[in-house]
Amino acid sequence: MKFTKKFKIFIISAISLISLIVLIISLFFLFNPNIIDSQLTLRVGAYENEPKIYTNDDGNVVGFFPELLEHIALKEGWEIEYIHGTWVQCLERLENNTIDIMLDVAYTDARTEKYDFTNVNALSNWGIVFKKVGSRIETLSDLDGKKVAVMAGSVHTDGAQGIKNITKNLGINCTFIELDNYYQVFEMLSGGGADVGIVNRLFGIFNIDKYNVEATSIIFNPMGLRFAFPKNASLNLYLISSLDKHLLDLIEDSNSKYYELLETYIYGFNEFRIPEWVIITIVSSIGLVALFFTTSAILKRKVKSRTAELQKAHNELEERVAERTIELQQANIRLKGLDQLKSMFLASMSHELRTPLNSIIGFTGWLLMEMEGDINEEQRKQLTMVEFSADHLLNLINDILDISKIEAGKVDLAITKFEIAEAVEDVVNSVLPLAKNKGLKLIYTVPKGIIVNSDKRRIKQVIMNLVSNAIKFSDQGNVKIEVKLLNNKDLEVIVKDNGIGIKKEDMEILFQPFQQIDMSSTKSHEGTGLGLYLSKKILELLHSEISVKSQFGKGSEFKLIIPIKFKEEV
Amino acid sequence: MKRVLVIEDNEINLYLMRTILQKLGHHVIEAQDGYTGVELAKMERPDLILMDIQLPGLDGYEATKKIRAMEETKDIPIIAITSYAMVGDKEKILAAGCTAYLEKPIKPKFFIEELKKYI
Repeated sequence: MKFTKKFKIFIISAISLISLIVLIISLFFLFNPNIIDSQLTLRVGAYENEPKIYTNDDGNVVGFFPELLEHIALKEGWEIEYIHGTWVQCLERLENNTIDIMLDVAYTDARTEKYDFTNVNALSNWGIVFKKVGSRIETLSDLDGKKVAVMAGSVHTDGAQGIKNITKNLGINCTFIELDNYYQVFEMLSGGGADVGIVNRLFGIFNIDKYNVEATSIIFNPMGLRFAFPKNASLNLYLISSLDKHLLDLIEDSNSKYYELLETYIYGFNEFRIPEWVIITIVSSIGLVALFFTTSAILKRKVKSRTAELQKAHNELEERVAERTIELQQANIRLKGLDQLKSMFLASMSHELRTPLNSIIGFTGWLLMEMEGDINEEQRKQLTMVEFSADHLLNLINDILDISKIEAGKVDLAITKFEIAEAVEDVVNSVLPLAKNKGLKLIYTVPKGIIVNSDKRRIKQVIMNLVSNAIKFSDQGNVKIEVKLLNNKDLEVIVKDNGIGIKKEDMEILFQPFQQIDMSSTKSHEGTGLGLYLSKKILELLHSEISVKSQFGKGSEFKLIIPIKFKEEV
Repeated sequence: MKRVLVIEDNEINLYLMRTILQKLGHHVIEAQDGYTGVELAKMERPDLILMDIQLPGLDGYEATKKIRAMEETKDIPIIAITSYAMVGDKEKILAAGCTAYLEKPIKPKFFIEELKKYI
């Protein structure tokens, strides 16, 4: 696989590069000239606390702290003189100002009363609860009822944050076995004399392999190990500021002597080992490279699968769109078919209904003309009824046909210029006989010379409908038609009667199809029930309006507002 | 007396027109489909043709076009009688070559007035 090959090459390159860097740095340290300037001699308390500070077989003071101090002293040009003693002796000497500096002193508030300290911790330490290998003790609460081996006088035993106070505060009861040093603590623990033992972190790390013990996750009482000085000694200010600065620099630089010492004394068990930072660097590099390749491989695969998903989704979408388009096209074809079917139906209905009506109306009219011989009054009356009904049926058919056409959007308006007076006169002439029959006066006022550009036939149809209704629903008085020009823009047509009027509750249904209002009234009126509905539909086509005012029992007034110039798009 | 060709497929309407025309003293020639109508027009050369539009076989438009296309019949007035009320029908009928257009139902009084314009 390509991936594996690339990966191997990368690792080899990374290791080579890192080795080269290690070599250069080692050479640098090897040839770095040591300039010793003996201006100041520091008296340093030396005691035995391996690995932090101790005297080796050759009689030299070694360990983490002395070597750290020596490293700094080398740079500052200080000379060091070790004054050997026990821990307690050393502290006494510090108090008496017979030594200048003590290494590895845990910083506590109580101790600041007696000594001055650096501000920076040279090392951190804390108490750890150790257990015998295989023991199940893991948390503080597990210590309840247990035997605990501790070192007498240690900060981790008797300090403010020591184990005695901690367990006491938590209400955990355990038996403390106080011993002289940490070695005894580990010895008793591995021997089974105690359930757990408490030592500091550094001792624990250094000695864990020598005893049959292991660390629990219980850690407590963290504290800084610092350099301590006699209280208010004259050198303190200088020493503290110098040491603080060096410590900070050393801690910040992961390649510094500090970490080398840490490795050698604290984590390294005194054996030669590849410096940890080298291992860390190599491992991290390999890790990073592996991570990079893994991540990029995963990302690539993810992107690929995502792309595939998107592509699939996209294709599906396109397919669906295509399907939908076809469906819509088919639906459209079906609708067009239906539309044609409807038109055909309308045409055919018109034809089929008119054909028999043609003979009914034709023969009735023929007989009434007495072309086939005289008819008596009763025959005339009955034939007139046949003619009237046939006409009514014809109107119904025409109205239904009209409405169907309008609703189907099949109406082609015939827009022409005409004089409104002429149109009104046409209407009046055709309804005059009806009005006369009912003894009604037909009054109309139309100014001459108003030219309207609209559909003459349709406007006539609407006015005819309103006037017919007015005549139909009136038994006395007069029917008035008033035409006015408004703002030289709109035509106002009012049709007024003194008829039966319209009830308030009927106003709403007035313009709805097949709503002949006043059904309960004593008299039924002829009409298709489609007239006003059709009129409204026609007026909508002509961008015109219809409104009505009425008082029941007193009459009605219909008002039309028709633009004199019809515009296609308004 | 004039000779009138009535092309109408509905027998009752045919009877109505025949009755009116005969009463007015005209000679009526009858056809109940378009092809016969065109043939009779050619053979009889009537003074007037009353043409129903919806006819079996050859419809009124086509029959009119054929009659107009023949030298011997091209000037005979043709009155279309139709039950069509769709928009554009009138134009279509006149475009086919009809002289006039009457919408069904026919009111005898009105019908007679129209006839008088041509015969």
